[in-house]
Amino acid sequence: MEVLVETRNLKSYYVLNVFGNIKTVKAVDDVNIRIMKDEIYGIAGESGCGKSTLLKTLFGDVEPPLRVIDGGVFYHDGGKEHNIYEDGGHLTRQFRWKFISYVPQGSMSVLNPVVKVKEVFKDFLDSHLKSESKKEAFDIAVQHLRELGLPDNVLNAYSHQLSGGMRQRVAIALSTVLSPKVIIADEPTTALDVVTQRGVIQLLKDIQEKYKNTIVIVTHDMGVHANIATRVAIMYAGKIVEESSTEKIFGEPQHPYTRYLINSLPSFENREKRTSAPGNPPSLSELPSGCSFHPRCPYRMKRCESEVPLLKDYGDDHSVACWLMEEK
Amino acid sequence: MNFVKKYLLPRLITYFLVFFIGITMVFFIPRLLPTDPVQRTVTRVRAMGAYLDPEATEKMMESLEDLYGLKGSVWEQYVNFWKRFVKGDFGPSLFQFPTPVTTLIMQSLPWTVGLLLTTTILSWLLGNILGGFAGYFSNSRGFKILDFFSMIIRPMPYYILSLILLIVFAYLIPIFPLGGGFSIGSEITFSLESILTLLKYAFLPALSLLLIGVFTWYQATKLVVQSVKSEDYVKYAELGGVKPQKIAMKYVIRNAMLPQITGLALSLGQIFSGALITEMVFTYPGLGTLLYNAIFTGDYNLLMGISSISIFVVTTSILVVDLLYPLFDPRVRYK
Amino acid sequence: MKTLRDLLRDKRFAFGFTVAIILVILSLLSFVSPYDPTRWNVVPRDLSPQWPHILGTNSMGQDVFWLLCFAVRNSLILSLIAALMSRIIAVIVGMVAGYRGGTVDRVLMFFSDSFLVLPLLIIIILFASMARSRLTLTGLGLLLGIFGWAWDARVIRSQVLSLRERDFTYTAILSGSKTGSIIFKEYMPFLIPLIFATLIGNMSWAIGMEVTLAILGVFNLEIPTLGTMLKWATDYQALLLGFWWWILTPVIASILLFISLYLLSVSISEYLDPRMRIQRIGRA
Repeated sequence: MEVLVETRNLKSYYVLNVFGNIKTVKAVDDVNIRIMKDEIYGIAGESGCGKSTLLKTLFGDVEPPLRVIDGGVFYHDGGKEHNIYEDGGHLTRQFRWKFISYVPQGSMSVLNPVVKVKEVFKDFLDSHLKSESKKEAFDIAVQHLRELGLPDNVLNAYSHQLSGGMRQRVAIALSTVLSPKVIIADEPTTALDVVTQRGVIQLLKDIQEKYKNTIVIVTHDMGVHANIATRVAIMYAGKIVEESSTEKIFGEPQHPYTRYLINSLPSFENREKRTSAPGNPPSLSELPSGCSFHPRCPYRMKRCESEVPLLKDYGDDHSVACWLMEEK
Repeated sequence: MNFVKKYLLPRLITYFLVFFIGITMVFFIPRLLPTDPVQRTVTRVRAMGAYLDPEATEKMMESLEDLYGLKGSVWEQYVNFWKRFVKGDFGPSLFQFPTPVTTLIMQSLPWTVGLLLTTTILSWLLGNILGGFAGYFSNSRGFKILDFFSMIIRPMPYYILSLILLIVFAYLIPIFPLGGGFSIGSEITFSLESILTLLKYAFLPALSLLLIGVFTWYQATKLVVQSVKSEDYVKYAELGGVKPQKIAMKYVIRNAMLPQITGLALSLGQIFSGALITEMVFTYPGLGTLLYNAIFTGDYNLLMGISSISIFVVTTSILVVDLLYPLFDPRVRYK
Repeated sequence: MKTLRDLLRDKRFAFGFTVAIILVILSLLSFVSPYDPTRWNVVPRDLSPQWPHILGTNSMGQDVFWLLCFAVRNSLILSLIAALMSRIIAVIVGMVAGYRGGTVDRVLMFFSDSFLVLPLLIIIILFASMARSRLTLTGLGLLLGIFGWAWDARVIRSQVLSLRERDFTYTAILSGSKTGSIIFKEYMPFLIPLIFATLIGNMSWAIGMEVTLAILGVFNLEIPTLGTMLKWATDYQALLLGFWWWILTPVIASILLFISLYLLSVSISEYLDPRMRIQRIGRA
């Protein structure tokens, strides 16, 4: 299987200067993941666990106060490896949208309000293609929209004339125009009603099936992951604590946090009262020592309070970051 | 139809109301104050040495009252005032008796309108574009220099800046004429020479208005751009790899312009006043110089006339700008 | 005090503040002036700057330096009166309009907009030229105050509008506080910095108007202000006769005054703007 995007020891922190005191928010703390071709990779976790920051860093959207402190993000394009943060630089425009594109959270206001929708399409296309192919590309974009079930007149409309669901679908369509190898979707279903959510998820599934590209979905909604993700990574307090195929995550969760997560989901068979992990997730600027989950973990050992467990593959493509696994 | 109702109608009503209130204020202010212009004129005539017997004085006062529109009760005066206004009659000017005030105003108005129109539109456009780029590409050195200049020029009252320009460029380094609108005695034609002369005289007053205008809009747009920069659609375009210049023009400036149109409408009153002051410094033959002479000679009718016309010009321009807004913001155009 | 230190870090504020202090000192000096500014020929005429007349003397036999002190003092007092007066009106109008909303709001804003829209210069000239000789310093100050509130009333109104929607307002209402106490006790802390920032801007405007009116000869020329100094100097052809100190002094003083007031008001409003605060925090 071909790796498309990879992070190695990635650390991106928010460094804030609040009236003289330096505060560091460790949103992405030593993350190593590999995103493959032709899969739907889900990243799950509670609000504030750092998943949006991870996405931003993956996409190269890093601005002070967010900084990449350590490690790197690598794109594997055309057989070559590119570290997008080389020389502290930013993602060059050549990759944006052609190799990797982005569907933002809540596309309510991502379209320029004073121009027609088709102008936005043209702008995105124009900035990446030479003039000969522009016309073709625009026609392809129109094709796209039709295939994705959007009526033609959407292009001639202004952003405020479209409904929320429509706008989200336009954003998704826009992300596919240059046929990128990776599409990142940040909470694509939040802020939408259930019916539209269904439509959006179906749309993403269809795109992946048709173009055989990779979609990375970040959401706290486990139901969405269950629905379309092929692999899922669970994130907690800036670190990946478990990563495996969707079936294994839902069927045999290993990490105590994942267990709580799965057990808190309602289910048809089991009518017992649902429980969730006791306590609250830690503040990312004041992380506990050792394993960040240990204050809430019912299985904690002495080791967990001082040593940080690393994400290790325990066979069958199932990685966990927990000292419990070592004991087994 | 909806558009007409929701957008057009309220503005037209406001326009008429404000115009009405303004003219009424112009009407009432002189009548509120204890000075009596008829008495003053009579005193002045007497002071100049003319002797008038009581009968002649009375006749004079009567005709003055008529000329000043002070005959009859306040209500009668008010109705009279409006009647004459609609006909464009402001009575005769005092310091250029018996030329009707309207003639004097009509002579000066084109100069003022020409100066105002060009400098306002130019400075608004230039200021917006410069401010937009400066706000977006905030790290470039060139803009820091512009910032410095704007900090010095922007708070200047029109008078002082005009004075400085006059001193420097017409006195110390005499490139431009000290004042006036055209060389004395020559006629204004469409020939190149004539146009060039026109421009030469208009240059300094226009420069003064332009400088203040450009830097005012520059600052204002820069401020707006600060918040537009962080709007979702700008970020999205950046993430999409759209070229920065395109983002600056199409996404940032096009949107930052919108509140500036409203701002333009609101500042037209100030800009107009500033233009008048500038004209006075350069004795440019527009309404400003006319106003100065009116104040100097205590020409009551002329003062009233200029005030009324000014209110008319300003409120109408504001209406025009207001009506232009939907052209730029589709959200207002299509509900 | 910490605010002051924070503000002083902004170079613009530092410059404006220093100049302002200097000008205030100048105006205070006027109280120990050895000459009466309304009298002429108290010193030899048309002397260029030399000790003891450090800024020279003018054609009416007055010491330019001490005249300047009085001018600065009067201009500052005038603008303060105007600005305070218009603050009061702006705050009342803004608060009532913002808090009550509905028809009251619309009517008040309509009036406010009318004031904004009309070319005030014309109206003030009309007023002042009719009342010419009777216009005292205070009189002009009040006159300017009555006309200069419109813009800031809007600014205050929008602040009050946003405050009204906040939770603590509803809490206060539900717990039975009366409207008056809500407005004063709860909102004032938010409004005071705003009022302060606009006060300075308004002072600048008032002085500008005063200068303009004086030049036009619509103001009582006996009272020494920056405007009247300029008027006398231009009337007496100071420039043509080469008495540059006479005309440059008020010009430079005015320029400094305007720049410093502007810098102060810009830096204070930027300091207060929460967005800029966040940017400052992120600039680690």
